[in-house]
Amino acid sequence: MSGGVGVITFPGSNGDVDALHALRDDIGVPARLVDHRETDLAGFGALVLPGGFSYGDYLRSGAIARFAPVVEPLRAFAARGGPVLGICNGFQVLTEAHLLPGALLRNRTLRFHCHWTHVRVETAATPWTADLDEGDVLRLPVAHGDGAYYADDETVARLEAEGRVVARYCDAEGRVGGEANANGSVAAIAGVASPGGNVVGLMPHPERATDPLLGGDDGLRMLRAALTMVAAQV
Amino acid sequence: MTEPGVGSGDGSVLAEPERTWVADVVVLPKPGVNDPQGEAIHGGLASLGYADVRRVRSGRFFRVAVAAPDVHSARVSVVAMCDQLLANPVIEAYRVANIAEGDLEAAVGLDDVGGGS
Repeated sequence: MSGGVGVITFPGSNGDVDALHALRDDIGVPARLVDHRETDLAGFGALVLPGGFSYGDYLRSGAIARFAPVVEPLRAFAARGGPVLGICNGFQVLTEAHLLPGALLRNRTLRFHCHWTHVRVETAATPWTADLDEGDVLRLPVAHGDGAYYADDETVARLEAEGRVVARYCDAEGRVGGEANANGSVAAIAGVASPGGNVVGLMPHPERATDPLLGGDDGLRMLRAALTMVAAQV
Repeated sequence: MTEPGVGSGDGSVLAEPERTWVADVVVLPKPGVNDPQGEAIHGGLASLGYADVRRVRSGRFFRVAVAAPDVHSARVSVVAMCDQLLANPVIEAYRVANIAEGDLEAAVGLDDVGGGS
């Protein structure tokens, strides 16, 4: 039987149980928490790096988590084409581990942002957006202090040319940027993908938008893709 | 700068007595990378009446004590630490500002360069 989806818990993760709940209870895909000291990820169909403040955000957000024992096997999993989703702090960890380009800088407001936002899906060519269409608008919450995506001009041009911008901040009508880009991300980027598309980082939290009781359930539209990933696993 | 008796590599030298080098590392955002903290500090200085401040960049300062046989290998080691962890080369530039033999607590105190009343 497939190991389903592994949700990696680092010391200081706080979105791990949210992600587990979303996957297992809301989506109905097998999932379990994976301790940061585990090194065997072979059974999983997909991996999620959750939000939080791993290692207290010491030095830089995500900088210390990249040395956890689980990260080398994660790297191998990604290199084999395994689907990986880094949410918020998980995105920061993936950039620090150089599995995704760029970095997440302090919000331009210097404030912690905790609110609902909209993002425009920019590509369906990743396993995590395969059930969506380019141009779809999702309403998702954000909760971050270091959320401003940054990459140099050359890198951003490459991401654009290769269709690796996964999502951008927009208003409810899908108009990208402006006030909707509250944290000051370059090109209003809210999420990017690896060259192969299988590793995706996203600042907003789809796992916290899985029920109208939570304020919205657009996150399900993205996370449901995990069913396909796990079903496709041999 | 070369240190006498360094880099023999012929295996014939006796083990060097362990020496401790203290390196000061300054890390700043690269040019062009937004630094909202530096901008806020600039604003604070302006509020205090320092109208002559043109710009502020904020970063980090590290003092690292490293065991190495000589200053060259200590520097090589600290530079590697900077590339791998102390700085993120995507967004930050660093400089090993000073490196000298000594121990960390006894190294040049920051209060030697100001901050006293």
